[in-house]
Amino acid sequence: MKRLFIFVAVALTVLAGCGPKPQTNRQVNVYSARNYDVDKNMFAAFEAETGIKVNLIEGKGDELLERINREKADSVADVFMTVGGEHIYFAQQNDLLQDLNTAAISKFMDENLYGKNWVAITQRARVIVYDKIRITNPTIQTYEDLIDSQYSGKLLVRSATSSYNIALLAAMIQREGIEKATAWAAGVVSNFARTPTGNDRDQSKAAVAGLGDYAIMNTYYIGTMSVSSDAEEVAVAAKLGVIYPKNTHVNISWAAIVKGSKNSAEAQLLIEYLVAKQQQTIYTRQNGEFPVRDDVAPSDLIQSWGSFEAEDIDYEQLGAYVIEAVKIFDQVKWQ
Amino acid sequence: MIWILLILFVFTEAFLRLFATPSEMWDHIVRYVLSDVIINTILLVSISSFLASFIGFLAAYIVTVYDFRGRKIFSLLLYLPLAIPPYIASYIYSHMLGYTGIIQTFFRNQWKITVDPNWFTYSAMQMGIFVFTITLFPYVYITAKGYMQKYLGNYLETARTLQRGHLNILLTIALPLATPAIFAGFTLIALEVLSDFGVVMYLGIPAFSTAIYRSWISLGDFDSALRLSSILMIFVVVLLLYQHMMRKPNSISMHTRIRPLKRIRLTGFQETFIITLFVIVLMVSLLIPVSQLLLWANVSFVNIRWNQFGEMLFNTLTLSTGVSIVIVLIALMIANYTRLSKSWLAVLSSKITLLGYSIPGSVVAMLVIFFFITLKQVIPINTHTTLTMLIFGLILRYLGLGYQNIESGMRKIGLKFNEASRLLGKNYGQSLISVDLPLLMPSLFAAFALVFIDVIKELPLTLNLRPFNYHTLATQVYQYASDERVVESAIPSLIIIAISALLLWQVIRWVIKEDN
Repeated sequence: MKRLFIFVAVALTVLAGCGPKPQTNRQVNVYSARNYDVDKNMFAAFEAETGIKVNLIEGKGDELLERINREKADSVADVFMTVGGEHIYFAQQNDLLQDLNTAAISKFMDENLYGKNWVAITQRARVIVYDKIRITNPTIQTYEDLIDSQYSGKLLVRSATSSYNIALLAAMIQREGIEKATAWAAGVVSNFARTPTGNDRDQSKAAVAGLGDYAIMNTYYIGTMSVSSDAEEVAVAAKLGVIYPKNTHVNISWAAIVKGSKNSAEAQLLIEYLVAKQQQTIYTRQNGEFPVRDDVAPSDLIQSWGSFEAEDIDYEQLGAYVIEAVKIFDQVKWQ
Repeated sequence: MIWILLILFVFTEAFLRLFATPSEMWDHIVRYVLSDVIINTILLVSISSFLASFIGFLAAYIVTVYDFRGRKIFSLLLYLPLAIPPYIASYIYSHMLGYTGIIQTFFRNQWKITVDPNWFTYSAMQMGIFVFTITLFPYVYITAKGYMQKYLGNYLETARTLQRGHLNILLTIALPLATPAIFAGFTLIALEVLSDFGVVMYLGIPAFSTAIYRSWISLGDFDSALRLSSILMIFVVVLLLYQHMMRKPNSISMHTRIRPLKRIRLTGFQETFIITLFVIVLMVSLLIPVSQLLLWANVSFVNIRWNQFGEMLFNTLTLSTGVSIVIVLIALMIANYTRLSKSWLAVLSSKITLLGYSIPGSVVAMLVIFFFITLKQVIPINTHTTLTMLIFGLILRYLGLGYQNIESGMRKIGLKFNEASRLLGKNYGQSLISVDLPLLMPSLFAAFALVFIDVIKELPLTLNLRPFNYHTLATQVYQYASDERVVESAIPSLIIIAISALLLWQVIRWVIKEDN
């Protein structure tokens, strides 16, 4: 109880310290599905450096996009940011984005990481992890290996409602076609160690606990687990071996200017700021993500997993396969 | 009445879909999704509501009929699990039982024993039922306790004179008598479970709320989402009307003279047994979750972003208080209207207020956004820098909860005091204010408290309808939890729980004093 009062006291002190902030006319309204402290700190820094106030609404990516779509002519959003390249399709189909000036960006970014009206901010890979103390000689090299019958009862993966799994399967449909993707999803289901439950971190913990041998997980979470407040999570992260399967699925966080933006100059500035060298370094070091710039090296942790060959994804079309992916998950009973 | 029309306006959109030609996607949903969703939802809702009602009723019965050491404090503490949001409880217990959880790490680090992790595995359904049971049983505890304290006395004396045994009294007298009250609590639990999104999403249980969300967001088929919602709402309306019919026969008993209840003093083994039982219930539902959060708060204290924390606390308190007050006022007006008008229309319209409580918050949120977009074409309102949409949405969602409480309070009082006052020369309105309102105060405060603790932990509406730069403690919990940083979400979670618990504690003590 005493501790609670201390928290409340601290909070009230913080409140008391919130004086009036310097007024500025320039502002940019951001709808963001990247609900991270790192992003908030970055917005604060942007505000301090440029004098442009960042107004923020956070939420889930698809809901924010749905809201922008419904608000259309009336939307006050200037910048939209989300996790998951699959949303670009919806945004473009519904004509929600405004063209960007990519001249500055294109110099140091891969061609598939930006389009005429969007730009990737960070990347994450969906990899296979295992307990490197228990399994010294991992035998899996591709996503397709996961459906081999020798791994029956050994696979750990979260529910199909996760957007990461949906994007993974959508990308597989894009590359291999519906039939192969269906066979793959059905194969994974038949090798489940348990009915999917929990999030990505939970899968890796279950792998270390020995409930299964291989878990599908996002690299981002290995990064954040390794700096967790919970020492036990840090210990689990340290035990994880990372397999980059052939054609590793890499998804992006991306930003765009919303069509009809009334502060598009400020929006452009903010987006350029997020892909600048300094900010990209912060993203990879503090938030465990891959940078999008060629001239920024990934964090030491990411480098320790070695190099990999990413699958060739057309992010603008990825979303076209999302419905098919969800249908496949339903058909093969991947809950 | 206007409010009910507004609600109808918002929900008609959903109902109309049932009669439209189904989309191609609907065939897919019927073929692969619907049966699983219906079976899982029925299992989850019925088993957890049943178990929670069982615990709630039994606890209420024991503290009402027996006397034992610590009875008073137990009877107060049993309200508090309601302060713990089910989604937070699901994170806590999943983590505690997991590989990095306190149980397995304790064996591993202290005694160097690696326990078989299979001992700690459970199905998502089991965990879901467990979480809802331990967090929601107070709903039945509250309704059953209030009811039994008032009406059980009369029967108990007679039963004891007839030398009936403990179990006999419990099963043949208390249970049938309290059934309408239990069912009222049961309904609230069922509605809360039906509309839950956080728990079923995290655990991966295919339920109505996740299916609605998926059809709409992942399959991009808003029509099917509304179609699913309307099926869900039909279930809810049937449940509510059934509950309404359930309580009719007992209305006669309310006019009998209330006899004070003499508690039986328990001693020896019986007393120890009962105390142990309560300690276990409170440990599981309160002590363990809060202790775990305190441990997490301790390690995450330095790792979370404290900027804006005061602002969040301020927003949380003002929003929850403001919305709860408005809801109590509107609910009071509707309850007053239905009390005077006995028509079926009045009954039905009062039940409609509960609809918002039963469908997933994210669907309500989108309906509210559509509503405002339509409304904006007629009247220009600013929805981006004001709280208009959020407050509207929250009222729409929680009005039913406040109404349920106030209406049952009004029913207890009946019209007789008002009639007496009118005989003495006052008109209806004057009598309402000077006679009924003071008698209703306990119900109003209870309604306020229940709505408050729901608004303070509410997520989908707050997330989707808030204006720019508006953060609350709940959105902060969401921020960390959605990023799988459950440990870091402990401090905002604890503050939500502490505020809710303090409020419940105060209101309950006050209500009990008033009731006596």
